[in-house]
Amino acid sequence: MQFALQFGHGMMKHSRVLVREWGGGSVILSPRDLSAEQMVKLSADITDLGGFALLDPQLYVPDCDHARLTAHSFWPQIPEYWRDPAELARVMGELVRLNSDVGTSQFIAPAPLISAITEDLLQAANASVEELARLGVRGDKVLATVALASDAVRNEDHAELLSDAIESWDVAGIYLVAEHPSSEYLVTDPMWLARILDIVAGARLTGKQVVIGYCTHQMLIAAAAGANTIASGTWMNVRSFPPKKFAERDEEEISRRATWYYAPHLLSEYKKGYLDIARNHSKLSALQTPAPLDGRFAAVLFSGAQPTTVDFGESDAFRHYLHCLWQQTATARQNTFRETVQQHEQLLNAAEATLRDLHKLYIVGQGRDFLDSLDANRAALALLTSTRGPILEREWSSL
Amino acid sequence: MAAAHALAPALLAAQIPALSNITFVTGGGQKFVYRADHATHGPVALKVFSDFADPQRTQREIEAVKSIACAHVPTIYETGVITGGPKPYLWLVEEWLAGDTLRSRLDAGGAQSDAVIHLVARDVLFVLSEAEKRRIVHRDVKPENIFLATNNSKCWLLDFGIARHLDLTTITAAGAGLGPLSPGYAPPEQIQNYKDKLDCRADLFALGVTLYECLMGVNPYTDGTVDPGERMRRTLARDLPRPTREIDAGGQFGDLVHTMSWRRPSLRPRTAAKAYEWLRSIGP
Repeated sequence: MQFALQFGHGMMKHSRVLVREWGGGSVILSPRDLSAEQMVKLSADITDLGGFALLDPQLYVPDCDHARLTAHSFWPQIPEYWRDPAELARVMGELVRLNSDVGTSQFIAPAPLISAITEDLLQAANASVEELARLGVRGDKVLATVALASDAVRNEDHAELLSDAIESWDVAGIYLVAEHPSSEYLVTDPMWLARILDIVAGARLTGKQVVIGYCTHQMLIAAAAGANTIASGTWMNVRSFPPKKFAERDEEEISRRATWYYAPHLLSEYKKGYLDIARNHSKLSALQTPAPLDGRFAAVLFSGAQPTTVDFGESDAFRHYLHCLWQQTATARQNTFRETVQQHEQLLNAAEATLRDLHKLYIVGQGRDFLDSLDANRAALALLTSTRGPILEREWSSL
Repeated sequence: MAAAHALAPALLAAQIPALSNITFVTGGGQKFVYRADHATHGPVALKVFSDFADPQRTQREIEAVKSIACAHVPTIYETGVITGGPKPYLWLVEEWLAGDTLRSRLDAGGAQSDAVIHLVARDVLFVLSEAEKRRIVHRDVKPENIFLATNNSKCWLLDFGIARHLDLTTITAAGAGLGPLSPGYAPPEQIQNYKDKLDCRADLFALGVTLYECLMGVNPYTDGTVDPGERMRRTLARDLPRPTREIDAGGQFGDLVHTMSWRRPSLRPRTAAKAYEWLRSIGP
C-alpha cells in the first residue's frame, strides 16, 4: 500500500523534507491551505524531489463561506453547480487549468459531501466526471471523489447503490473521504470501519483504484481491503475528514498545540508527560519505535534524558508520525489476503498486550490511545473476511 | 380450455402434426410436460406454457437461447403457439431426457450426495457461464428446473427464456406488481423488481440457494412455509448461513456456495465465468 501526504496547515517544509527523505512520494494539495500560486510552486518542488502531486478540490460544502476556499477561481458561484451546465463547465474548466498548472499525476474530480446516499447526490460526482471527459480529461486519469458523512458510511441500506455508482463511473478510481462518527479521532464504531472496508474492497474488485484521504494510522487496516493509498498529515484536521472545517469562515486552525509521540507498534500517541511516567517505571523502552521501523525523528526521546526536557517539538512529532506511517503502510499489504489480515491481527494483539500493561500504570494515550479501538478493527476485519474474504483471497494478486 | 388444466393430447396432435403418441407426463399451473414421438427426432418432450404476455417475444428469446447450444441445455427442436382458445399457449419440442428433477430427488431423499452436488454445481455453472457470454439470464434457477440423468452422468438446466414471460399466479396479490420469479430462490433484486439490475448474479444467487439445499437438506427461505410472501420476506431479511457441511478438504465449496448466495449482488462472484473458474479450482 502507498502513503500520501495530506497537505494541511504548516506542511510545506514537512512535505519537502519527507519527500526528499523517501526519495519520492505523493502530496495531496489543499486549496483550503494554499493559493493556486503556492500549489504550483510546491508541486514543482515535490516533482524535483522525485514526488508527485494530487489536488483535492475540497468542494465538499460548495455553499460555504470559507474565505480561502472561495477565493479560488474554480470555486462555484452557485451551490449545486453540477445542475447548471454553464457553471459546471466553468468550475471544471478552472480545475482542469489548475491541475495542468500544478502538473498533477491524476485528477481528483470534485463532489459534494453526501449526508445520505441517494442517486441524486451520486449524480453530482458523475456530472463532474462527464464534464471532465467533455473537456478532454481521460477517465483513466480521474479519481472520483466520494465524500461521506458518518451516517452515510454506516448505513448499509444503500450499499449497493453506492457500489453500483462507483462501478459505473468511467474513472480510474475513487478518492474516498469519510467523516468519523462522533468526531472521534480513533474510531470505536466497528460498523463504520467495516463499511469503509466494504466500500474499498468493492471498488477494488471492480478494478477501481482507491485513495483514502484524511486518515489516521487506524487506516492501515485498509490494506486488507486492497486500498491503493492512504493519506495523512500533521494536524488532526488532516487525519480525519472534518466537514465543518470546509464550511466555517476562517476557522481557528489549531486550538490545542500539544506534542504527541506516536508509538507505531502500539498504534497510540502519547504526550511527553506520560513518557516521563513510563521512564520512571522503567517502561520507556516499551514505547520506543521498534526495529525494523526507523524512528530517528523521535530518537532523542529515548536518549536517556527525561523526555519532557529534550528538544522534541511538534515538528519532530509530525515528521516522526508521518515517517513511521509511511513505513507501516509500505508493509501493510502482504502476498495474500489471509497473510495481510493475519499481520494486522498480530499488530493488534501485540499492541493490546503492551497497552494493557501500560494502562495498569496509567501510562495512557488519552484520546489517542488505541485500546478502545482494537475491537472495532478486529470486528471490521472479521466481517470483511466473512463477506469478501474468499473472493479477495482468490483475486488478491490482481488487485 | 381452462388454463389450469393440461391440454388434451388429441388437440395437441392436431396442432403439432409432427408429433404422435402424445402422453401427459407432469405439470400444473403454467407448465405441462408431455412425452411424444417426433417424426424426425424420435422421443421428445413437448412442453406447453400458459399465461404469458407476449408469445412472439418469448419465441424470439427461445431462438436466442438455442444459440447457447450447450450439452447441458436440452436441445429445442421447434416452437410454436397454439391459438384458438381463450388464451394462447406457447409450446416447444425439445430432446427427451431420461432421469428426474433435482426437486424430486430432494423431496425423496433430502440432502444429496457429494457426487450429485458436484455434478449440479459443475454442469449448471457451466451453462450459466455460456449463457452469460450471450447476455442471457435464466431468472428461474431452482431444483424444479435442474434435471439429472438417471445414472447421474450429467444434468441439464431447463426452461431458459421462459420464466421471464410467465405470469406466475402463485405470487400473492401484494406481490402482483413483481416480475415473474420463484420465491425462495429468487434474489432480492428480482423480488424488488430492479429489472435493470438483473444480471447473471441473480442466477448465481438462485443456484447458491439450490446448492445450499442440496448440502443441508433444507432451504431456510422455504422451510416450513408455502406462502410466497413469507418466502420473499425471509429472502429480503437475512442472508443464508454458511453451510456447515464440507465436501472438500479446504472448505472452498462451502465458501463458494455462501458467496453466491449473498443478498447483495456486489458480494457475489462478479460473473458466472468467475464462479465456474472458482469451482474448477476446488480440489477434492
